[in-house]
Amino acid sequence: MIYLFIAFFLTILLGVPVAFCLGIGALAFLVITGRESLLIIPTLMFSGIDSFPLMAIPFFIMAGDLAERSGILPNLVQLAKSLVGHWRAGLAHVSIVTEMFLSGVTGTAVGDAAAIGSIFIPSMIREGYDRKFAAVLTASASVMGPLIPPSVGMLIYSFVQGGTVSVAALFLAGVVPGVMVGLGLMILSHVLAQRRNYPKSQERFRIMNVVRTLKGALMGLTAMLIILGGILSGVFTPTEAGAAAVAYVLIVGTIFTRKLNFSSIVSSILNTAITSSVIFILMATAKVCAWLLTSAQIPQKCGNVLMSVSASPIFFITLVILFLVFLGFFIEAIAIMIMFVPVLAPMAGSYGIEAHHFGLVFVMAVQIALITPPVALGLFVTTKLAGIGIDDTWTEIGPFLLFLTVLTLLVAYWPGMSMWLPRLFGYVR
Amino acid sequence: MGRFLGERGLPFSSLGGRMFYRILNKSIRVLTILCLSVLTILVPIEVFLRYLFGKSLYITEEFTRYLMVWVVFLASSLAIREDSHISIGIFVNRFRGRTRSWINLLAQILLVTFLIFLIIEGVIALSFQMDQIIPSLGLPIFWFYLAIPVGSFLMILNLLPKIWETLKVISGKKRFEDARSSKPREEGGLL
Repeated sequence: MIYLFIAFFLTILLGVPVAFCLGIGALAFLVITGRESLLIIPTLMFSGIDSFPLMAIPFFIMAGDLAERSGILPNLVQLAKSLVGHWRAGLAHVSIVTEMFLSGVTGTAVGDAAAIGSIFIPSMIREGYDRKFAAVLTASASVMGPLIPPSVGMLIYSFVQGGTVSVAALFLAGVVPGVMVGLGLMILSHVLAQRRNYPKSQERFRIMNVVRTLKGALMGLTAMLIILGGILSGVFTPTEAGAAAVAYVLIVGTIFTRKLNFSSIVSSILNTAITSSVIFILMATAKVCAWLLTSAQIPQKCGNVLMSVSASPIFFITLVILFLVFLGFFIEAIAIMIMFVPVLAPMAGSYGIEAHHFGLVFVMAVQIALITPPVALGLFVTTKLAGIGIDDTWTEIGPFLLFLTVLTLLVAYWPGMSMWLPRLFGYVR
Repeated sequence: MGRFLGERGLPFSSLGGRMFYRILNKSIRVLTILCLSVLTILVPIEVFLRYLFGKSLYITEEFTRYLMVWVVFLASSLAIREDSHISIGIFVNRFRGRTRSWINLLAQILLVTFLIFLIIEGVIALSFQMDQIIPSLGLPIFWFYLAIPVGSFLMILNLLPKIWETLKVISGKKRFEDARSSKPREEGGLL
């Protein structure tokens, strides 16, 4: 098994794409030990892709991508503005609330960061906000994307973990922490805004405004309703909900808002194909490695070592969160999940941590990687929009990083806070 | 090395080479889009039929699953071309110029080795697949397993120009460029 790790880490260091590092690692192991037929690599890769529940990933990516192109977003912005635009640093609050809405339609963070960032960062800079603040805030807000359902991150987790956790339960578990990320960021922006004297908008809160903008935002909100409501009521499986969301956004975008045309739909499909193929190839080779790891009982052995240090689940989950946040500085979220879920999830099981709760904490902890430079996909997008370098943000991320880490720890120590929702719907005991 | 590359016969930057790659990648794009479109149309239809009329297109589930394998392996070669596969650059980004190119060359050779292995084992696996009929489609699973060797071959094809670029930098024919910063974005390149 040591050959697998050596080959894997060497190829990672050389900059080979992670998906192929996993494949090369497995190949090296099989060639050197000769334990199994080499045929298991293509066979397991095939079976790692060929799964109907997994098809939810391209559908949610496509629904999000089409939603951003279909002109639903400006209406959501108007609604958010009428709700919180009158506060100090109103623009910051509006961007957070808009992202909260958008998260209910999209399943990924980076797309959200690009969409929200391109709308709000230029106007924040115009109103005199710090560029660093604008970039870090929008990147942090995109953490909600994979927490508020639908969530590609949760889907990936459930498949890499081995498919024994319910995707619907994970989706539901993410709702409360997702909203808390939003609320926490609003408090944080408020504090920073007062200290730095960010501008206050002249607008007043009017209930009529809310009603009016709510009407405009109805189309976007219906997409949320289809996805979440469909899964909750058991009408849809996540895959079907994704497909229904795609169909809905296509109809709205072509008939009602008329923003979608043939060429934008085609480029959205191509985008979706490439993005999902990158994820699926990773899942395919990860399946091979996970199979080898399990058959060599590596997770159990690691678990036993750690158990001999301490049998406390609090100790284990704290260690895992800090480890994942640390890795997040250097590795991107999906790659961390693919590499560490197969080892850590069984260990969590032996510590007696409920599988869905651990999944939620894991997905949440790896999302922090969006804002931890030098490798931070969220910041990568938003700093570009703000016209600064990713290294300039070091001085600004402190409070945001601290907040997200503490919130993750809180979610980990207090399962009741997030898990009551899936329990209410009978997904988790 | 310099003589090996020569002045004449630059297969990947010549007009014919560029044409070949333009046509190749356009065909891959069209195929990928077609496969994914079929998927995206089939599943919602299935959902509506089931809930509105209680009927089911019994082929949907298996057909879409297997079609996705094609989407993944086809689009993966496009991802190679665009450098969109997830990799960890924290170590290699420390190097520039020729050193970096040697590292890149090593990485590319390893990648090609793995892909060649996938082609060989994929073809061996194929020989068992002709008799395995997918019940709902009446087709042998062969046609979907075929995606692995074909996709790997296309990935190698799209890697060759990259290896060529690396060799040019090593031989001093070309200045080093960071692939990430000059990443080609071809949104809607089909039309």
